[in-house]
Amino acid sequence: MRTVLEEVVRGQAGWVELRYHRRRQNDFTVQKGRVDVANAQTISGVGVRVLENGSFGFASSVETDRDSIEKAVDRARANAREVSKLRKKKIADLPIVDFARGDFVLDGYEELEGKPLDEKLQAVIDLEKETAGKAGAIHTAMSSYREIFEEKTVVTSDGASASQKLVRPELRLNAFAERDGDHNVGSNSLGVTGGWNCLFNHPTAESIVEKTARQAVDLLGAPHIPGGQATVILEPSLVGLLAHEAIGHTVEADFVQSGSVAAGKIGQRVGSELVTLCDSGRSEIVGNAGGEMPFDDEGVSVQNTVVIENGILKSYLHNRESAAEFGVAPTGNGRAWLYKDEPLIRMRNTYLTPGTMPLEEMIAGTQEGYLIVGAGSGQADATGEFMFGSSYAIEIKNGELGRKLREATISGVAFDVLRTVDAVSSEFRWDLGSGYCGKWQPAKVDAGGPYVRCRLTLGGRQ
Amino acid sequence: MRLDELKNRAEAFLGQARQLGADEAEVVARRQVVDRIVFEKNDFQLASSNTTLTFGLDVHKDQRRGTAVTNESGDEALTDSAGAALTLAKFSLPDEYLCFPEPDKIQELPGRHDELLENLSPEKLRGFAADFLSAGRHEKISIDGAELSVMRSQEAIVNSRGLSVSDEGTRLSWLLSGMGKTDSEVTSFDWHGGSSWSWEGAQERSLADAGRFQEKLLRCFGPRKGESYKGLVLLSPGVLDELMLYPMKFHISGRQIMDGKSRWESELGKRVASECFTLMDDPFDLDLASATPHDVEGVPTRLCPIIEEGILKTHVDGTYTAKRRGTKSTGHAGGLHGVSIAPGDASVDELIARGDKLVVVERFSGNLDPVTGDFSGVAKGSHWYEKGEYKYPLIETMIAGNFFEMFQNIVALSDTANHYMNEWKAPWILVDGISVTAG
Repeated sequence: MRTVLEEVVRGQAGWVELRYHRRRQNDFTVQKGRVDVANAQTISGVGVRVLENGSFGFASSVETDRDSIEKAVDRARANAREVSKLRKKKIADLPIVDFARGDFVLDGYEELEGKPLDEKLQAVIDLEKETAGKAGAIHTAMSSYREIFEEKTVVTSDGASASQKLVRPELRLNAFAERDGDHNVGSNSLGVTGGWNCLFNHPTAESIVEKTARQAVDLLGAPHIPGGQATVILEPSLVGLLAHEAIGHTVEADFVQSGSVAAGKIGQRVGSELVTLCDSGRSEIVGNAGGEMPFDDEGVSVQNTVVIENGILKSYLHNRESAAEFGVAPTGNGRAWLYKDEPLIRMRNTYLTPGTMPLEEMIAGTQEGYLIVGAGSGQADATGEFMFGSSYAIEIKNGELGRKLREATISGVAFDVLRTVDAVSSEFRWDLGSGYCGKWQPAKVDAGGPYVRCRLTLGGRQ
Repeated sequence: MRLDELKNRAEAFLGQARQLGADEAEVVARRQVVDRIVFEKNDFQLASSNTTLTFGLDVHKDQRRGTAVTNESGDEALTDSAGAALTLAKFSLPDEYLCFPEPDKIQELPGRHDELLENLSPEKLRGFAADFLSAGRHEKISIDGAELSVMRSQEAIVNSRGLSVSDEGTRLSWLLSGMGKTDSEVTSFDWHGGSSWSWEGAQERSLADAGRFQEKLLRCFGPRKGESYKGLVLLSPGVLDELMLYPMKFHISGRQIMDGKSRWESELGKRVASECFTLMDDPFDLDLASATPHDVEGVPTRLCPIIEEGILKTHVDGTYTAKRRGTKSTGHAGGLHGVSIAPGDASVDELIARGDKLVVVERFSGNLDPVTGDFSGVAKGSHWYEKGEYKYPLIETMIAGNFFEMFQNIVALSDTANHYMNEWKAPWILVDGISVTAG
């Protein structure tokens, strides 16, 4: 495919970016002994972006022959000319950067491609059956598996020419329990960039059936968490959610240019000295993070971007256009969901770096507070105000873990909360690999970190 | 591509699946042509055009099911796709209830296809975009993103029972998102927009939506934390999907009943909400983007009372869940089509005046577990009132409660119901027993 794209680019004047993307996705969902979903999806095409009259134009083609791609280039040019009539500030030529060149195949692609489908489906069937049988109070169990095989080639007229193959499997397990009219759900999920073995070696996969069943049953009859300000220890999935939602979005350069709370704060203190936050296209510290990739959808080689270093804001996240406007190098954050989507500034693997204190010591040093467990969905605002759901909370009193409490939605203002961080654990894990980020288009991301102690608001009952 | 051409291709794919060994099969073919203009960072950024054609195949073989979706429409690719669905069916578990719907007469629903939108020129879309953005702009507002798009869609649904349904539509959509911004302050993020099946009247409606977007953001400067209390809050139509409609749809769903997750399995004919609450599914309301004469299986839709004066009137099913539950499809494969909540008899001001302290919730950023009904989250872009008098916009203020209790604790509804972003029709709703926590 790379040869075809290179030939098309050679025949064009001005800046042209061609991106071939073929996605094969298999989904299985098993519930109550039924296979509810056994689906194979294949979506492919070429996305075309051009820069003409100081404006971007985009078009796509499902057909991947040379003639169809050239017609899409013509449509993209017409679109660029149309939008240039509305645009006030023209986009300057994009500077040459560190482009990826070559063919990349990430670990696990061939292993997972070679594993028979029936074995994968049988594993999902077995997981559901095992979970359903774990406790009498569990009336329904559900297991889901997804694998996304990505095949991409990016060629630009100014030097990018590379292809990549990678695979991202995900696993989800839910248990629904009921006792005396009280209902509860236990949920665990994980995702990696890698193969089958890599997925099942993830720390969340360890005893996932027992954990999910216990979570569903143990919280039956549990009290709700009281609302108000509290000291909390966030587990790695929630630290990842904090890094991604509350900080990461505010430092995406397009959002900064729109006026996010991080605008103008480079060089300023935004967190305690214990806070170092990064976004990387690679898997830092431990392997197989769910948002790993060799290059982004603009053909830029990925790197590890230090966003906050010891509490000081150091960098925003950039694509080629924003990097040129800010006078810095692009950070490899230009990403598109499908061939028919244009690249936007998106995160990859976002994390807080670990500290030196063991978790046990952190708990022992907490007089009164909560250990918050399991990331739910999260949202953040332009102001940095965020909200995350969590699975449950465990009370901490005089340095010891106590009873479990349900419904722990947490909230705060990101930079204010980062300033209250007073302990960071030595443990680290990626723990949002089954997650998707939404910003006009979805994106496969991961996030994680150590356990972190801070103060924030719990949205409980009065 | 003409609609009958799409139907022929769907039927050919169905034949291919049967030839490869499927006992029964269904094909859904969709073609979309979308032109779009994107505004970001306070300037126009991009124009794009995409044409997509996707085929979805559902096969049953020896009472086992497999499905496949592809946009690769060459003969070889479609054969591969049918083969993949059959392979998955082979490995799947047997299910004696698998079925497809029989053909049925579909009621005409004119007004969803407009030649003007079908042939809308790039210049006209550009002019529409410029006017919309101009109406949304304000010196104290930073527009983070806006999208204007026109979509022309065609759909054909065919199955091996002889069902054959085809349909086409046009949709013009507009959306603004951003925040209030001055040198010293950034407000909460918000958005507003809408859509229309036709060109006529769309401009006026889009300009009104741009005005509503401005109004929401300009009211959010100078926010303060509220006070903690438990009691009345007023829900705007914009928050009803997350706090009421999502869990309500969950508990009336035949699938959730079948899986033992619904709490309303035995509640037909019983009170599930306050007496002042009436909700129906109106699939023929052309002011809603979801208006349709058939569901995703090609089964006819109908006007369907869901809750009348607080009493649950029906559960909703597609063909498979209906067979499993020993009932008939209500034409709800894929869910409800046009949620419409009946208005009450008080003005919004009268509702606000009923609380000594009152949060008016404009946006909810939080979580709701449909199984337990528990919810909590931040009241975004929301406002604080005391004894009917406006005090200030809110920040760092959370609300929490339980859906089942809240549905029973609906106190009153406003006397007008609006089509919120052309997605559902609802009035403002005053509810009691909500925990408000100031951060």
